[in-house]
Amino acid sequence: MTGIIIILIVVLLVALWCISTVNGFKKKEIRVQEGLSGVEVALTKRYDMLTKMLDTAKGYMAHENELFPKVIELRRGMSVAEMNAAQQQMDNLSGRFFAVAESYPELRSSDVFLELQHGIRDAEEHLQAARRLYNTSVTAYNTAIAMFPAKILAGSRQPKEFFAADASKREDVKMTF
Amino acid sequence: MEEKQDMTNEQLEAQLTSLRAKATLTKILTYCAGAVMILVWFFMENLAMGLVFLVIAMVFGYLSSKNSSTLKKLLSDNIISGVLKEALGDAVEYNPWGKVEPGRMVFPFSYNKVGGSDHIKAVYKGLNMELSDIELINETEDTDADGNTQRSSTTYFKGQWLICDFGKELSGEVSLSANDKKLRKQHKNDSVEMENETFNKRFLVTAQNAQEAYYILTPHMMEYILTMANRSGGDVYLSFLRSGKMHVAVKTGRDFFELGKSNANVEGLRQKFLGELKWFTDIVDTLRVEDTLYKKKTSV
Repeated sequence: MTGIIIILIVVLLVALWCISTVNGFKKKEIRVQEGLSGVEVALTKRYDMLTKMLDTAKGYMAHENELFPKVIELRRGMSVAEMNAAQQQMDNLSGRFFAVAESYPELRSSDVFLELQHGIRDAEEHLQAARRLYNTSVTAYNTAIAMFPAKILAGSRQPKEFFAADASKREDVKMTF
Repeated sequence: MEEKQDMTNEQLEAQLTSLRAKATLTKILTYCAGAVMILVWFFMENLAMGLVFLVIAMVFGYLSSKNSSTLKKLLSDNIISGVLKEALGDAVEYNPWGKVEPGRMVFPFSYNKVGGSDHIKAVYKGLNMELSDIELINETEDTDADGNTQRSSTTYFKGQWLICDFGKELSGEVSLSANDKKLRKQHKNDSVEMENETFNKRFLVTAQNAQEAYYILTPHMMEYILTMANRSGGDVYLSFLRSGKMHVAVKTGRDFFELGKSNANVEGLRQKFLGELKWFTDIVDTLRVEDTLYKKKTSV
């Protein structure tokens, strides 16, 4: 009788562990999805700010329009790789834009330009935060499904993809005074 | 806030030493008179003598508080005002008896009374800041079965409180507290794990929106907070409020701008007070550097 009770207790404990482990996977997966959706929102915000900036600039530098072709496309449910590519394009576009804007002092001193520049900066900060949060959630999820004995219950769950830091951001910060 | 120059350093040092001695002596005499009063009134049941010692204790108590006030005023007029101008610039107001209004902070204790002193209000490098000594006290009242009421008071926090602009708009609040098991359990649902393991071990981050915690706590900011917490000499609590204000509470266990038991050397005191302020001005400087870094990244 005692043996059966012990077996039942062990079975119950194993069942409870299985439930809590699988629920843990689900919770972490939801956090990853939330993180990805946060990145999508931040990316869209940055895209909107950049578009507004380009529209504002049109009036000041009409003949430079060919420099800024609208090739960036955003859609719902993009993969991490697609988002990375879109961000890379936005980085290039804004880099080129600010370089060209250097030659237009009237544009650079306008209130709308300054406000939009601040907006782009804020959107960039939010995007960085969203990417870091997503990567932290992915680390937690990937670790959870890779660790033994929880790994046994991971089944077909695959590790999630990280947002990779681009080469320029991997470099040390160079400060000029 | 004009620094008075009508007495020499030697005269000021002599006056400070004399006032400190008088304040200490009258304080001791107040306690002695109080102790004698209790002895003759309650143990020897001599009401008349008890009343005499009560009056004596009150007179010494008044003299002690007057001497302490004069000492504080002398320090304020001749040393502190100059130190504040040097460290924070001309746009500074100082009230030795005022205090900041503490904002929301995640503490492992609750309090219902706030005390404080040395209130400083300044515009430092374009940012509004306020700083003061703060004491957070919890007063409780217990009534037993016989109807006797007993009051008790516990000071949970003694240190400094800084409030300053941080120029970012938030939809919720982000708080950082010294990591504590009990607190972690209480905030199971709104705690946020950062990517920096050392930071997670040292602080508990709570936020209504996890992304905003990452928005404020950049990798550079986390490294800085760890460094400043190591130099603080006590537990550090931070709160970033919706109003765009940052609150920093440091449990140093002591008050700022006090003469203390040290030698009343004017230059030594000036350096000591400047050092006390530096920890806080460094925080504001770092916030400004963070902002500059962001500006650089976008405009390059």
